[in-house]
Amino acid sequence: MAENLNNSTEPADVGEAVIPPHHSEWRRIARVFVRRKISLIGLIIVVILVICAIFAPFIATHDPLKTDLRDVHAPVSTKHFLGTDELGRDTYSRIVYGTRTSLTIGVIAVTSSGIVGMAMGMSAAYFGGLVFALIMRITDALMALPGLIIILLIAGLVGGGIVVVTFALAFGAIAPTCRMMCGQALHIKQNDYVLAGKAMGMGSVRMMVTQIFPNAFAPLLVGMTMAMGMVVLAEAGLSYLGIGIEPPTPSWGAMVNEGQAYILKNPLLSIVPGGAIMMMVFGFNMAGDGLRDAIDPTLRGAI
Amino acid sequence: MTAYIIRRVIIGFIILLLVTMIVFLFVRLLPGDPLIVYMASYDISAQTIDEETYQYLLAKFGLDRPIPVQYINWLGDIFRGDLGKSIVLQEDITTLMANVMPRTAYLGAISMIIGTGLGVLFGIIVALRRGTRTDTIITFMANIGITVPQFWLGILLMYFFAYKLGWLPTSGWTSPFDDPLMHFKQIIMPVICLSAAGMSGMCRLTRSCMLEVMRQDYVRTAWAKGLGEKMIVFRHQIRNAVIPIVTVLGGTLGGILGGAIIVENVFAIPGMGRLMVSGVFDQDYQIVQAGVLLFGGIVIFSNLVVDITWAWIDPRIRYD
Repeated sequence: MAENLNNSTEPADVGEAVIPPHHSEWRRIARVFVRRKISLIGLIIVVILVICAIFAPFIATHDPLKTDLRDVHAPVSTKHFLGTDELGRDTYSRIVYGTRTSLTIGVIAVTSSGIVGMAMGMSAAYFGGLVFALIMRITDALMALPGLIIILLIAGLVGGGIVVVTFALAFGAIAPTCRMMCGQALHIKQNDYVLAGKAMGMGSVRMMVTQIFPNAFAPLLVGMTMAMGMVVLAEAGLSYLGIGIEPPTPSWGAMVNEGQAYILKNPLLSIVPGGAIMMMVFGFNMAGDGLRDAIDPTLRGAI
Repeated sequence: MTAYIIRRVIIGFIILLLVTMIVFLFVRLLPGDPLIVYMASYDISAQTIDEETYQYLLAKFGLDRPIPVQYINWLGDIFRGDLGKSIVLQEDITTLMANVMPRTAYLGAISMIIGTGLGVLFGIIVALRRGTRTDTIITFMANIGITVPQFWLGILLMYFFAYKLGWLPTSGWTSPFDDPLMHFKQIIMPVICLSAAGMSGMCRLTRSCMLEVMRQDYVRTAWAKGLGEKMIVFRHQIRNAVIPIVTVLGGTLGGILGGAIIVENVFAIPGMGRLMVSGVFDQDYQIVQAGVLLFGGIVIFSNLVVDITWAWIDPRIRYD
């Protein structure tokens, strides 16, 4: 440390050898994260599910949409790992493809709500005053409407389908992201580098993009990981109610609903997809928890 | 204190107004026309929409006036307690909701009390026994509890307790005044489903708040001056740990109300959730709109009550 200080006073003398190894903050985060077993399990679940989604055609054994009326409600066998449903579709393959549906909707909804919510939260914190009051009151109003209800309203008015559901879920996730981002940005705004930027004559947009955003990125990442769990759960709920994804697209929530009618004859039909939903949400929640604690344990409760 | 209450009530009112605006704009700006659904429900064979009838109905329901005028009229009706008339069901929405809302409110209140009470209790227990097996097991259960889809939990419970063991009726609703025992049996599973997520969330939050408080100087001082453990836990730790917990109560209530939509549909309980979902299927936007407003109003009102109660208990909050 003392060596560094000496070197910094004589910039001309800085050689390759005396520069201390660059300790990446991300490497420290990774170390803390991996040490917590449950977060690691969460991450592994997420990775497995992502692989399932990408390589679905190779992992699935059958076409998830192909019906076979000669082989309905088939029991568990080597041909059909989890049996077949009332139309003779392979349950295992439908679950594998369902990963795609859930993750696609989740990623698009979370990313878009993240961008909008972040922009709103950052502007509220940066400009303050009237802008702050306006944006935060709208956020309060949106937060007063329980998540599923606002989604129900949109999906109900426009009708189901992947696009509408994704839009509705994204809309529902804006308010929490905005509030979190605003809290972070208010905190960051007090730093001297922001003041320095202002003194240099940096514009608002440039300030937000180059100074505030990078410093709020880590908590935002945690928030988005947690939001993935919420969005996946909400999508499943909507599809279960029959408002979300339209058949025959394999969606876990809809599969639970379809299987409910045959619960005595073939309980796997609705129990397994429900378990898959739980695994995915659990994975994202635990990974998010671990990430939050690794980045900054004091964020607990704030995110 | 009075100034705080006034300020808080005004903010609550503004939020409520914003909620009505958001809901109103949603209904008007999003595609989908309830009038066409209404007309189609009377004349299924009609391939095209009769323009004259359409204009007549527009005028009849006041949908031909400018949007701000419609909004003001609608707002006035709401504050007079008139939520409008369902275009599809041809019934007064206020009456319709007055019939079903008590069931949802009742189930919600029970779940809220059980969820919050047990959640905080478990949270305190695991915080005091952190690092032990009790902590590991309960914390894991809580992590599962915030993850499990309510409808799936409902189906699992139904499968085991109703179909396999035959202990409980599968679904339905009986008034407690008609048959108290049947009523009790029927609400067990819905209440478990509704309270699971809130209870788990509360448990996790209480645990982390308690652990946070344990690190505080005044707790160390209390130990140092030789206070008994009971005194420290009850007088110093729990009292301070509870403050952040109270602030999330509104969110928990919102979660339970949102959950009611799903749980009522799983267990065939004729409450607000059922009404709203059937409203969605009939494209009866006025029912959905009224339901959203009602839920929003309840959450805003309970947030207000929580905030004021808490400012009364903890004077520091008043000066924020």
